[in-house]
Amino acid sequence: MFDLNNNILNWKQNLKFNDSFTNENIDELENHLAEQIEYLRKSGLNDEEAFWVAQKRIGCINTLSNEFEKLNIWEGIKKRLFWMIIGFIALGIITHIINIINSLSYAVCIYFDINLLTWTYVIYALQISAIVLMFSFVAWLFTEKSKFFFNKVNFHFNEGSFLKYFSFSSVIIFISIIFMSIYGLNWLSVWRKYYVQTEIYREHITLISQFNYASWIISIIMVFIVFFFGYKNLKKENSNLHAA
Amino acid sequence: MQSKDLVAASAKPLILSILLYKESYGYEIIQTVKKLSGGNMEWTDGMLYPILHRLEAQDLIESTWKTSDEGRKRKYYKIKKEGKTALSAEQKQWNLVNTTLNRIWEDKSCLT
Repeated sequence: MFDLNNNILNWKQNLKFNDSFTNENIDELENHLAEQIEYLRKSGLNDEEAFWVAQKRIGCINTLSNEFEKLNIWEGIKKRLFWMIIGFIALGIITHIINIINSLSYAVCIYFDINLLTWTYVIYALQISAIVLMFSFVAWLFTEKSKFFFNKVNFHFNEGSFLKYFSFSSVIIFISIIFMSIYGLNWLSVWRKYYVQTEIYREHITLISQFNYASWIISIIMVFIVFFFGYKNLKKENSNLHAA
Repeated sequence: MQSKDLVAASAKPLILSILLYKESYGYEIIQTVKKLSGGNMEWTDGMLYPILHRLEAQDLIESTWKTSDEGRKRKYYKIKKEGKTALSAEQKQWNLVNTTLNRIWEDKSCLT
């Protein structure tokens, strides 16, 4: 069964994920599409036929985006800048989370008198799962489901919302970083210094450096995977648009 | 079927002329062009909007969002004073091209 509203929503989302259109442009084009569909339905076409004809008449999104891009250069730069800042903030948060996991687990290890070498594996398992979770989140952002999610929570960009999200998130992150470094769990790492003096720590250090290399390699592989699938999706989407 | 260049060049005077009579919105402008040309002018609907926005940036037209009687939100475009001046200049140019071509095609004696 053809769902007209869902298809219009999907079409609109494709515009939103393109840097060339402002929200006002999208509203205007959507109104045009709706008006065309209504007219075609009155003249006897069913929902599906009306949608495809209207979409065809309004033009291929790639061609349109080329024209709109020339008008909205600044808009595209702003969107990209926004995501870059989000990336930096996300990286900061992840580093803090990993530090907290580290410190906490050392504390647990000392408190329960667990062998540090065995415990190192657990710590790295925790850290790697944190990284995996982060990358899965990024991968999820590229999927169709997230598009509908963002539409439901009404999350989109314009000049107002850009400033709102940006200032809001940067203030929160700034406060939390200060809070975490002063009152946070970093003092727990004092326990680590105690272990430096012991024999066992030397072995521990070699193990840690091996794990560090491993985690770097895993991170790099994951970045490639995300880019590869992102690119594949993009290509698929583009060919779909051309076919449409 | 017209060439791309001709469509691009004629879009400006066409839009300005339509807006001279009454303020209008994208869909209606497209329909008017299609009707007046007997369906022979083939515009890709979406391409109208970049042209409208460019004219707006050139300060020839202005736009406002309005809600229609059926509750549909539409962006209406209205011609400005500068637009009218630009249109009369365009009119002169197109008339000149038109008369020149017609003179050649209809009355070949002027060439000899």
